[in-house]
Amino acid sequence: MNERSVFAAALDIADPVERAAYLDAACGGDAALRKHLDELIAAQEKLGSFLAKPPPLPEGTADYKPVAEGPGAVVGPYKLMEQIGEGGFGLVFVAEQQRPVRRKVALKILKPGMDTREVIARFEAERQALALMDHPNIAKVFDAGTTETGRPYFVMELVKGVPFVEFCDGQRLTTRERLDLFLAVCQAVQHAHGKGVIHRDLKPSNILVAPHDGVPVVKVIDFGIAKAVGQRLTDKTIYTRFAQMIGTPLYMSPEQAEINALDVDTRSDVYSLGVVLYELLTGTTPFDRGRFATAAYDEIRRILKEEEPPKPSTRLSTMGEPLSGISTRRKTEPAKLSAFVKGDLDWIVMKALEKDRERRYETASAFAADVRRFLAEEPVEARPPSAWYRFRKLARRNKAALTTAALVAGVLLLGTALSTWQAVRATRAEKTAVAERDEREQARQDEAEQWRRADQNAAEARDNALRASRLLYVAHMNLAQRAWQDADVRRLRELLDRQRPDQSGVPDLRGFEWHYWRRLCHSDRHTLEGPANQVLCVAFDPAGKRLAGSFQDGTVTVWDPETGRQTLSFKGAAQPVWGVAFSPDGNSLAGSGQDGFVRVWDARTGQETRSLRHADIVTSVVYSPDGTRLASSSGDGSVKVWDATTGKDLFTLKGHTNCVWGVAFSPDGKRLASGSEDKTVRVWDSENGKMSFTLTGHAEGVHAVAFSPDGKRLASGSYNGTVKVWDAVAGRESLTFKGHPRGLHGVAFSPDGKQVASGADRMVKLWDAATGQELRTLRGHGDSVRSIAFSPDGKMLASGSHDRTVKVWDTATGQEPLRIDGGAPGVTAVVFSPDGKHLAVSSQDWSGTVQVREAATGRPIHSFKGHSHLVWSVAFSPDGKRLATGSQDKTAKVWDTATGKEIVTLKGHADAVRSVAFSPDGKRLVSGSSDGTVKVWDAATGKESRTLQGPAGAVNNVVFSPDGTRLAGGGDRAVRVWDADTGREIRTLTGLAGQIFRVDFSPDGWRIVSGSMISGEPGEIKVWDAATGQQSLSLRGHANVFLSVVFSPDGKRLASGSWDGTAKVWDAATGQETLTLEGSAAGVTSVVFSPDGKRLVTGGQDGVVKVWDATPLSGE
Amino acid sequence: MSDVTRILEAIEQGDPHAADRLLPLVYDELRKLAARKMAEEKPGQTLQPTALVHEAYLRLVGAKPQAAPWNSRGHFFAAAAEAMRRILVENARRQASLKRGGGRKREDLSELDLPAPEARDDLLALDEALTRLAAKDALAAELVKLRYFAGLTSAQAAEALGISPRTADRTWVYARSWLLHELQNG
Repeated sequence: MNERSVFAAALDIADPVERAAYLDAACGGDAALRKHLDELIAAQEKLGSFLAKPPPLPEGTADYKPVAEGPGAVVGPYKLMEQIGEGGFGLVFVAEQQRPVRRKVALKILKPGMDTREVIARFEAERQALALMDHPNIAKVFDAGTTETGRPYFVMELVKGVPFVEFCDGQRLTTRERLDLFLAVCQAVQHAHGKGVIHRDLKPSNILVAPHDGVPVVKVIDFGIAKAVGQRLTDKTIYTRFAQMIGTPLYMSPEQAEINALDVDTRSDVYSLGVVLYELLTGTTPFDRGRFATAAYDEIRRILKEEEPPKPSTRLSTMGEPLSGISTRRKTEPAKLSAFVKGDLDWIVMKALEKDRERRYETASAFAADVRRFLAEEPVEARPPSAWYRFRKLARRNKAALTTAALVAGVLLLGTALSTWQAVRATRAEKTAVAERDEREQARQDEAEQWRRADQNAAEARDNALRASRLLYVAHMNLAQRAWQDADVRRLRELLDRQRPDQSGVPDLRGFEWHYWRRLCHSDRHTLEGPANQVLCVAFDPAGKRLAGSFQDGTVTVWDPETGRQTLSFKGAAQPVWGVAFSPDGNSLAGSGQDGFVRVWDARTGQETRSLRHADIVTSVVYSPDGTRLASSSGDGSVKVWDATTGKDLFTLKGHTNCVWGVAFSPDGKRLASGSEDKTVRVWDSENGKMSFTLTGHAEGVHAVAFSPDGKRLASGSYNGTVKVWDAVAGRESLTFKGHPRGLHGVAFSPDGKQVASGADRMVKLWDAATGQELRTLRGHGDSVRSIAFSPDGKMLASGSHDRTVKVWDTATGQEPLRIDGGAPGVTAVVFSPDGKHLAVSSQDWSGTVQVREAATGRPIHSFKGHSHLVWSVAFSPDGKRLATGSQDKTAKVWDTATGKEIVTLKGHADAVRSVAFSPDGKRLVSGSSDGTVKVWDAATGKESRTLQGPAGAVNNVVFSPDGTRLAGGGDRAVRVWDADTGREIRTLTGLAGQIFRVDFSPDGWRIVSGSMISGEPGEIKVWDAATGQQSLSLRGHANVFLSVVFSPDGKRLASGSWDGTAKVWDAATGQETLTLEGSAAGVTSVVFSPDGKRLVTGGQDGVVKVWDATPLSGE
Repeated sequence: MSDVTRILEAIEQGDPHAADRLLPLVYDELRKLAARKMAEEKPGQTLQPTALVHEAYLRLVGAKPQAAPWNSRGHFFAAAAEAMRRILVENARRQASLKRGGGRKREDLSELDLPAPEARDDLLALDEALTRLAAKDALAAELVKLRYFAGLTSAQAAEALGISPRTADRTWVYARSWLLHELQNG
């Protein structure tokens, strides 16, 4: 018996004693065999799933052809030229792209051994965010793909530059020059962070410098690559892969070095930037290259997490011999270099290199700002750590050890004290007891501190998680904006859905922008669905009471367009029905099909009454206006005219040389127009079938044609997205509309002849038929729009799409915000009444008129006339019964909103009244004036109760805190806060630039936002802690002077308006942009949230007020 | 008649060299198939050897395995299992040598690679243990190849080896226990 048989037999014996006896007997004294069998049986018990599943084939198995891509090879649409680099990731080539544009690019082919599909999938996930980046210091990533040998590659903007440190050393740049370049790097990184992209692998070899017109320009390369390559170190395999692919840990933050580095955020990049700066200053990295080369990975992780690198100046001074070389490369001497770096630069670098990212610079721009302060010789934000902080850091590292030590110390001291008590004299004993008590107290405190610290760590972890969710939310909202611009509503919906709070305790971060997009996604009147199939054609009946749609599966469905209710659905053909039309009397429906037939159905029952064989695919069918004839177009290039009553084939129009996509009767029925894949539009005499003329000019196939209601014009749309309007009498081209992407399938004239609608890709556009101006875009379809139709009254537009839906749109409102054009010049202020029903608008109208309008419709209700010059500011009293106004005429007035009558005039300011506000109880009124003062008035009597001196210059804006206890007013480069009761100055916020134009309290009164206008610059929006006067946020993003900023009623958002034409919504917690609205091209002068926070109103320099609706849809 | 069918017949007829000619053909086919499959797969899916082996049979023999006489199938699967073993082991070796820095240029040292555990060591160690098992109990080792590397079911493997399903099951438990013990103590 061999070992296998004995083993198998032994396993069959369940009882251990019996089994042992059997084994003893079977081995017959062979001790080694007996022992081995025991071992095997032990192993058998631990088998689990060992070898249960075949090993999966790893990626590397696939490179059957061991061909390496080299110069001359073709990778996708790229031809490799010379190799320009080789790094941890792989090889980099210059490559020539042939199509769609001819250009040279950099092509990076990754080393073999990675899961190519994963890399490409991750890249795809990041692609949209990458596309949002547009910065002169960032090299664009264009594309990614897989080579024939299965290796992933990335295509990037070709940068002919030298790695950062190398360039600086080569050019012998001074430290100052180096810092200037470094600032540009920070700006580039900040831009990417603003778009939700984290680099994850910043290092000098990823920062290239190239001279441009003699000036060195930095380019940060490889954004998005590290993420695509994969940073999730969740298991051993990926860990190995990571080790292989990510080049060096020298620039890696401690949190990235974690095996499970999932919560990498923008501050990880700040750390890497800190290492780069360290190297720029000292010529070496914070941790020694050689040491990292030999250390095990766990050791590297420990170093990154625990070891404190020497300050840059310390590193320089302990360097010895090499320092002279380093100094020479910076055109200075060793002593001077050390002195330059010592102090502020040390602390700036060390702040960026903090192990705890909470203590690092919050953003790359904050880092840059400190460097800038250093260069300007201003005090920097970075500070040397206090002794207490150092201790805490030590404590955190050795938490367990220290806690135990403290407890043991306490117990020991107690014991010692007892023995001492017995041994020494009373006085001495008393002293010891005190000391012991103190020490015990200290130990207790230490322990408490440890617990507090642990709690704090847990809280920090929660904060970090929340912070990560916020960043993700903001990134998704930015992508949402992009998706909307691309009319990619499917993607937009998906992005919105991802932010719905789930059950896992994720906070609901959704705000104004989320609901705004959600509304836009559903801004059509109805979304109609038939069979789950692509919609090919839509048509209204002549009365506008029915809407028919034909489907890919041959179904024809009829709905009531008013209610969206389906009234009829029948299977018209076994194959796709390409065209559908109601007869002018509404009794019949005609359809044209893939099967080559024109079919006529009873429009009430769907019963087929006739079928006419046209031959080949019948692409479209129309009735003549008098209903006597039918015309159909076919894939074979022919158009047939039929007698609708008898079904007789009257004649065939021949001339097109390729598929005819669409056909239309002129309103008088005398002419027929046809559009064909042969790129022409032909006009025919419908009485005899003779061709009148051919219209040429389209660059690609014509997919749709439509006559204007007066028959004088003809619109045609080409697949390439171009719409042309022709003089249908003379046969001349009169207008071309460009603006659609490719994939146009439908064109229609509005019944009043004033508009042309076209459907292409995922959108419908409306154009002014006379001028060709684009009026609006309707987005909402998730796939190509196939067909569009106006209702006979022109109030509705239907569109059918490959997304399997028909949408009915309101042509009057579309998806634009409510637009109120009072005909006045620039809006100076707009405010909501407390109930949200009315809007008061003041403008740069020199007659000083203020309009109150209905917020829902824009309908004017009252005009308040009385000021002798333009009005700068308006405010409703908290009960909504009064309105206050402040004017250039140096007065403020209070009005009765119900009657429009003036109640009282407040006189006393020596110059224009720039701002007015009621106290929350409505009893007082505060005004700010160009005379530099703030006045508090009795709102009922108009009696002045107090005058306060503003900070400096004109007081452009003054507000009450929400609880009415404080006042905040902005002047020249400062904001002053007063006690509203005593007039005592509480605090002045300084450090601002320019004129403070707007000040607002957060609803809880804890924060103040200030906005300042700096001539020729974008200005500053800053958020302050009202209690401490510390600045907590700085918002950047507007491209021009901003004019207004307010908190949302829930305090979670800020809205701002700028001369750059946009209004922006910001996350008040992080200062990141969440939404950009095209408020008014002339500049947005004022923004205000409705009291419920669901609408945002913008007032423009063109006098137009827009109401942006983000009212949550039902079910949200 | 395909080459492989001819070789299988030759094996049946007792040609001692026929089996040696079979292996390269199967090996070649499996690699090609793997390369093609790998290119077609969607992200997140992994390729299992079983499917490859069966497809290779179909392509090389021109019939479904079920249709062929069991003994010729057995020879084929034995060759396929050996081929799969070689492919996987070679791949693991290549990965391991890549990691040890074999063939890397000097310039790379500027970008220090992290030292890392060898990912494919497990497979290489298993293969070494399997060689030792083959010296001791050839049938057990053969069964491991069929079941583990070619992904055959217990019944298929039993059939290919011409043993009873019960013997196959017992041998399988023995072989796994033997290898596990070897890997943990060897």
